[in-house]
Amino acid sequence: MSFRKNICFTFIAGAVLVVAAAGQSARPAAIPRLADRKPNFNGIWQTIGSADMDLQDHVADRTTPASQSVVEEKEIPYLPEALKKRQDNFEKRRTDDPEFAKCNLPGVPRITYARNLPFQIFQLPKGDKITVLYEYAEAHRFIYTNGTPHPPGHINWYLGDSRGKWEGDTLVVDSVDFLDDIWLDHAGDYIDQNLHVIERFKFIDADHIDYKVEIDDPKIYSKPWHIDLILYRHKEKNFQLLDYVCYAFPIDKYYP
Amino acid sequence: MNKQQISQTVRLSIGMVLVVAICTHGFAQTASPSLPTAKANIPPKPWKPKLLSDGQPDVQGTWTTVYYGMGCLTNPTNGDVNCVPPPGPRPAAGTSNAGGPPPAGPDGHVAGQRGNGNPPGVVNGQPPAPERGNRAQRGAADQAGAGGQGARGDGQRVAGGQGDGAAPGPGGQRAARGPRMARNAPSRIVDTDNYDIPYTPEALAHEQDLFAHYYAPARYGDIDPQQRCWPLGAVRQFTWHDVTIEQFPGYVVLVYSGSEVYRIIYLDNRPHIDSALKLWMGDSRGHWEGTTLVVDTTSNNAKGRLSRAGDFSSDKVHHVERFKFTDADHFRYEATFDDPSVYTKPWTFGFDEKRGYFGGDGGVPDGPVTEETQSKFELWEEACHEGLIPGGNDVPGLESIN
Repeated sequence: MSFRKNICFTFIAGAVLVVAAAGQSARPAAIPRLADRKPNFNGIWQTIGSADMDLQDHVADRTTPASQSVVEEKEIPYLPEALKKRQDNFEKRRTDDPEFAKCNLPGVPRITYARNLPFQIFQLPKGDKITVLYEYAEAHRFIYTNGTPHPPGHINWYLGDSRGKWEGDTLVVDSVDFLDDIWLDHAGDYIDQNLHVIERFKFIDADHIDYKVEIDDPKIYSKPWHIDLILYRHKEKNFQLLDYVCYAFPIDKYYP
Repeated sequence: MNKQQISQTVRLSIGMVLVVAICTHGFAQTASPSLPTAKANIPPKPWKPKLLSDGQPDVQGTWTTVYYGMGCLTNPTNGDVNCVPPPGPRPAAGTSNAGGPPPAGPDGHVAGQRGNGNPPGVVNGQPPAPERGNRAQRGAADQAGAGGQGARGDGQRVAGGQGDGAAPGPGGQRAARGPRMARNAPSRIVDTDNYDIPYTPEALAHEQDLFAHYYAPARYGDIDPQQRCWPLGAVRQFTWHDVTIEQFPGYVVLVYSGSEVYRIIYLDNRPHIDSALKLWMGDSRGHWEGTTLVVDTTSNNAKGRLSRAGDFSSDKVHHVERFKFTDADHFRYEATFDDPSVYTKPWTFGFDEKRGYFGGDGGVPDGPVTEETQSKFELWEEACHEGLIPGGNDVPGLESIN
């Protein structure tokens, strides 16, 4: 028995060394996986930063901290007419931002970083879909992963229709069927109903997801462009989603 | 859940159907909608559900209230705040509004009244609801039947009022529509002598005040928060449209149609959040007792009311909710209301839910409702939020809020 134990210890020591060596090389970090070996995104996630206020470089003002652009191309490639509308939106942002002023559902991808609120991903091995519940406005998304296509016709939805597939360890989510009057941030960046969004979720390590979004809307932009954010996992004990029912109405005054 | 595989299994052959039905009792949701009726002739047997990986009974799917309606709790057959009895013979004395409705006022509305609730046995006069051809309204017009899936979220239908006999928008806009088919249904209050809520006198006066001002708000606070598309609260939400139950290890998740709200029921024995924290849908901890899901719900902010008729609890209310699954297609929902600040004694809110079968909505093609359409059904976005209120936040006749 003691002989066997010694062998066992030797194996363990060897394994530890191998793992340690792997940690020092460029090999990818271990990521959580479900029984179907797909990356396991179950958990509560949240963005950090100021993307909800302005996706691009911006200086601090009365309500907004300064922040660097999260647009990969640095600047959003607006068509000339659309850029004028964006500037007009910016001037009227206090009253016209559909999220701030009306509490509309903020579309995709803004729902991911709207007010930097947490959201929870529910994923089953070999599941038909992935469910995402957002603290923002009690919103939810179903990301169908059963190979079904988008439904026919254009449908006007705030959060669109989302179909997901796996490319290696990356969850790729294709969304269409949005309505007009959706802004991407408080600075007036906007889309219309031709929006086509492709989100890519990929683990950096067990507690960080690289969230990369391609945004294509040929009536507004000269070419597709990209947002890149990091999603951080909540690890506080007993952390849970609460509610943020956005109010465009002075609820405390009239419904004390 | 692997519905498509299951439905293929069920379709194997007629000769195999009986065997499959016996072997996959827990999958009966994919069987014919006529199955529940057939079951009625069989003595009830304990339901043996399929168990999920964490031991939960598998109750996933989309469910619908047998009697829709959140206007009147004591006769909950429609969306009107008035518990209007059906035409023809009046309900027996002691049942809801036995005296019949009062005459309509100049605005066409009938003044509110409150009678005793209908006893549980009242299930009379259920004429088939008129077929509503507009697919964008409700997939299944028969409220006692399949349960409808709502509109494609064009963002307009929900404005002002959410279908199903909604009250007019605060500005009084209301599209013309045919006369409502008044019907009778059991009171949602199931365990008090008169099947009504045992309010304290002060609480009853507040309820009556809200009730009287439902169609003619004198203050913004008179307007049912539901009209602003705020969440309905943990219990009332079930009386409105449908609910999709999803299960994950350690969780039951409820996602509602008709508005964008959900509930997460934690099964991991974690403590409640602090009682000072209040939420629209409360804070829920659950566990399974056989095929009954028992949920303890606290931290209700009580901003949502219990009906359009002004029924309410305070934010001290404590619920114990029971989802009593009796077979693969039915459950009984009961929620206790323990709140001495507004009720003279605890009471129970109860109703029946059935599995929804869908056709012509949620990705399901038009045509017969089958197990295949059931397996293809998707709960589609049906947004309801403040920005959709016609005319904005200001209500004519009231002070401007801006």
